[in-house]
Amino acid sequence: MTLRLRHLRLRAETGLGRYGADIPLSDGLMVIRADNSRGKSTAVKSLLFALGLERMIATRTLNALTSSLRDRLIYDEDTRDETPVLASWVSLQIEGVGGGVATLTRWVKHEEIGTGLVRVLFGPSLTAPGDYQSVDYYVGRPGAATNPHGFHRWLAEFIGWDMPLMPSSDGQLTQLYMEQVFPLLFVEQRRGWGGIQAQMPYFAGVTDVRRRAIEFLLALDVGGSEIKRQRLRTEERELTDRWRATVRTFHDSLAGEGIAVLRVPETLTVAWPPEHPPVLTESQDDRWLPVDERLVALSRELRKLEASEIPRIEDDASEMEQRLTDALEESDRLRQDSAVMREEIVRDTDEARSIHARIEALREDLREHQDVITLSKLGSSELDRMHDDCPVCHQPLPSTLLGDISLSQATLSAEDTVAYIKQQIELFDVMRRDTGGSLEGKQSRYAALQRRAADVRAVIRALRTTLTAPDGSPSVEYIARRIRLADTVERLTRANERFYGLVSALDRYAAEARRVRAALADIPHDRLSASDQEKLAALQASFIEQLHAYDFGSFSDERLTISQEDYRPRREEFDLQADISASDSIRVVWAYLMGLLEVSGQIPTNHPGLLVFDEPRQQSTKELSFKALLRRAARGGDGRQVIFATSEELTSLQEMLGDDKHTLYAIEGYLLKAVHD
Amino acid sequence: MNSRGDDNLEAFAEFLDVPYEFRRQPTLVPAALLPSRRIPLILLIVARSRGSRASWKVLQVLNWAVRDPVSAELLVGLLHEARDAPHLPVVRIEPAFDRALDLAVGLGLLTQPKPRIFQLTAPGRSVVTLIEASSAFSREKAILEQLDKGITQKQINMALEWRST
Repeated sequence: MTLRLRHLRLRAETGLGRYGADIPLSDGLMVIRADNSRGKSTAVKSLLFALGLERMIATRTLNALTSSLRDRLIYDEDTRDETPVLASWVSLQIEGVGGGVATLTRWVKHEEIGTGLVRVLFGPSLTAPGDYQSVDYYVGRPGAATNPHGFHRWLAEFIGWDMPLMPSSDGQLTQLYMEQVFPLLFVEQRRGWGGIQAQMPYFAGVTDVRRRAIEFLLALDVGGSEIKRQRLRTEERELTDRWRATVRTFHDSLAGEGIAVLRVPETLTVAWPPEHPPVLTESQDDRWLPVDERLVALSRELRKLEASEIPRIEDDASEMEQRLTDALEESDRLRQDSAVMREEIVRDTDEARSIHARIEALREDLREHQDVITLSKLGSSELDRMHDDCPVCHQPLPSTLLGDISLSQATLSAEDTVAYIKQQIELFDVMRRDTGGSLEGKQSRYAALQRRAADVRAVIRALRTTLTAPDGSPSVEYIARRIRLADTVERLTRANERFYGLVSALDRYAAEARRVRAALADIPHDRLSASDQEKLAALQASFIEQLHAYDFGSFSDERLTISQEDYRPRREEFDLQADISASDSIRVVWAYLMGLLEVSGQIPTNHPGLLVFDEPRQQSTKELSFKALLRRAARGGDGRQVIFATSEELTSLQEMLGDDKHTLYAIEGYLLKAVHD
Repeated sequence: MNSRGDDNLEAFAEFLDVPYEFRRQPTLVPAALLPSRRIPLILLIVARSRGSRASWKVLQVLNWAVRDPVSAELLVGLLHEARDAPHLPVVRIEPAFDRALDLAVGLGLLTQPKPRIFQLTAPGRSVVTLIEASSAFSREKAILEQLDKGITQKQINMALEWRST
């Protein structure tokens, strides 16, 4: 794991010619010095910009840079006159793992090339210009860390980092982004000294990102249990899918049977079997009767029929006539019920269709508003101007395309609209499920009615045949009834068998789910391996030793530890950073980051051996001398690079640095001067 | 309201006794009426037209086509497959679209080398580069893809005129 910065070049084209700066950067302690507001921040921020890491310090790309590269630069030291910047760019020559060398160029301002592009030349083109191969990568947009054309994917490889996949809040795996690791390597003046990892950018995704970044940089083994947790989650998801598919298949197999299953949830549950066990029911008139009970009754009736002799016609002609009348009446009733049910089904189908259409329309609306959010995040200044006032008349530009009336009315923000539409979709989804469920039930009932009507028609036919047959012949109706009954018993028995198959499958899934969830709960929290412990102990030793050397004043340092939970310094059980002075906060950040670097000198970690400190603003450093801090930074020699940018008086700085090995680059006057390339 | 009701109201106001103000709730506006969506979409449509320029008529037709898959299919059928569905309009002139066009010109994202001809400016082009690389307008991009690069004024005129007979 290596990253060294070798040479920084800034260029700006103006109407008065080309301005720029060249700063060679060497190993060991590298001090860059400039007077206040003379370009120190420009230099430091340009390093971040060239590495595509500006989102650590600003949400909009260009806000991460000072105006001298962006808008106007001061060309006259005495009068402080400014001239507009027409085009500008930053180049940074870097060295990576295995001695790889590359030069990055990123345009701040250019007619055609946006800030989303980083051109990589595979050679030391700043210190040894030549004809090197070049590739363009993009940065600052989704995919920049994963896409083969993404700059951060390339940069990770160049450093020798294998960016880990981490569990994110939505249960998926998300990559740890470079912007989330670099707050441990790069401290910016404005916010960086407020605490360890104070400049953590906000990205959705990885949970507990501060801890994860430290785990990654120290190459701690604890990631292992995370992966185990992830595997269990995947297993859980598979069980959920299997459950859903099994229930769905069973539902489908019941289509047209007039049978419905009650108390079987569509989604996985570990509270299974439920208190009231699931039951298979058949539609009988307005009620749903358990198939089990029906089967017992029907089987008994069938056995009775089979045991009795086939009756002859003369035996019971009048009873048969009565039954024919009953059957005809029932047939009429069934026809009416069927017609009513059909109407209801048509109505419900219609409703289901319109709900579906509504959901589709809402999804489209959602997509369109999500586009609006995506567009606002593109970071295009041209598009941002839409939210400004009219450059001519200074009236606000309209927020809608409705015409004049919309000018004064506040519109809902895209984020709020998206949230609102999502709520609507949720609501309609509930309606869809509800309508779908009742539609299914009605279709089952309709199927049952049809089946019953067919039965009754068969009964009527058989009774008529029997009644018109010569005396003494066997009752056709009786035989037909027996066959029908046997048929129904078999049909219900088959459905019942499938039902018991379903229940036992769900039993299995629920048992599996219980095992998976128990295993998830069992993953220990103190997961540190021996080598993890060793690294944290080394970090703690270095950290405490440094605070000693830096005259850390807030507490007596014997009680300080590095937490094994979140790897941050603690005093007894409390976060050390919660209640300390500004100058002590600087000591803590310095000691911690330097500690991470020093651990990497003893035990292999993922640290690239680079630290960049932009000196904090004056007011917080009144009681702080950087002498001890710089001495510690110089101690490691050439095996690493610590860059420190400061506005300290030159003589006092030289006195501070003393005999410690270092390289000093002092900027005279303004950083950007006329250059003739 | 009767006097008793007034009393109640007064008592209630006294009971509240906090400063309050009424403010109009922000209005929900369909995305199609938001400049922040519509202008980038116009830029995308112009960029996908031949020579990164398009006439007002072509823009209106393409605008209607990207609105929904049915319109798109109709236009594809008309232009490339001599298929038609006479009961559907190929184009409807949308005032909101014209306003968005005006805004895009005003913001310097489009220029008009000739009246009724719209062309991307350099800033407009850089916005399109960002949009093309982003996930925005996935459906619209697919439709424009389907319509093939470079629809000509002639094709559109023919489609419109032949239909009107």
